[in-house]
Amino acid sequence: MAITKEAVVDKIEVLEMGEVQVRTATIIKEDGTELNRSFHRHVLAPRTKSGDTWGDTDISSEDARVQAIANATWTSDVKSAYETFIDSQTP
Amino acid sequence: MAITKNSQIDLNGNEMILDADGDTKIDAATDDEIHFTVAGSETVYMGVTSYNASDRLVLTNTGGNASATIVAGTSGESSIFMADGTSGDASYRGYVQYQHTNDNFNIGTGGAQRLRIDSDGLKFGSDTAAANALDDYEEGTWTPIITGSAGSAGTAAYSNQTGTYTKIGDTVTFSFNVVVTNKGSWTSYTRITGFPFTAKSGSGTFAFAIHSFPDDVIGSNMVAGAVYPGTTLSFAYTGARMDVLHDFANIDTGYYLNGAGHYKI
Repeated sequence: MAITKEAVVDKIEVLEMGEVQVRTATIIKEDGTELNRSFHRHVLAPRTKSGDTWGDTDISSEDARVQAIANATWTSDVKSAYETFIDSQTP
Repeated sequence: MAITKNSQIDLNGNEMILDADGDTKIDAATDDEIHFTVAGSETVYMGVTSYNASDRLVLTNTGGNASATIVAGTSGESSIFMADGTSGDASYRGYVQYQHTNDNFNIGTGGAQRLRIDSDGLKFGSDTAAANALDDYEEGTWTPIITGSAGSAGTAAYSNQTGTYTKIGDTVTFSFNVVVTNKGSWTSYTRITGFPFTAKSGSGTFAFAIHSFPDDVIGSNMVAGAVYPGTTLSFAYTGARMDVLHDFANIDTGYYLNGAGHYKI
């Protein structure tokens, strides 16, 4: 009887302003049969603001597919539009 | 006495063999049951069976999957009706029905439609409006982070960062608990970030409640939060009218925040 646990990025969504929503499924299996599946979510923004300074979002620890989609999505125009949008939305 | 015609039909008292190799037949080998066998595998029972006493028709394939197909035209309906009479809605008191024209699946009780499933999602009663369809349900966790709106993380650390969410349609209900062990180099206003979905744009902020926020020194000591549209972050507010941005300076080591609320996506 082998119990295994694996984490898989099972959903990647790109939103209008370029945010990449990522769902990670943690799957518990016994002898290959799934016993349980739970989800964890996080969202990656095209740019990250630290203090008053905008910088590139660190995606180095993300799944390779997430990195590929983020890099393809986050053009200069997308990043610029996102900064303008957030600055207009928040204090 | 068996009756045989061209070696294809054999009536011997309890079975009728219908093909040359004898593996397709109708038989009544079990009392009060009719069994239909195709290619050597029993596929249909009619009459009293060992599955459920009320069964009158059983489709079987004990070696694997079993199914039934109800074929209708592209503008027709495929249905199973549960009747307790022969006229009016008594002939369809309960039903499951697929309408091929619009590709919607209906479930009815008491002679009326209760659920409809189509490409928009799940709809209740006879509603057909896409806006009223329930199209998603999901439970999970997220990682809340307390930051200031200026400065940097520096040595910021937490002993607990627990967040849960339930997404029903376009609404996310969430709760979180964060315990700050090192506030790092953040300054300015207090923020909670890391929400599991980006909030809906083009609307106002989505307010939520926060408690266990010790040592707040602004106003009434009560604090609320607001998720900002188009973002995954919120700001904490305080003051008599909850309209004063909370000062991150009032967060210190060992402080904790519990919060809960909901927002649209």
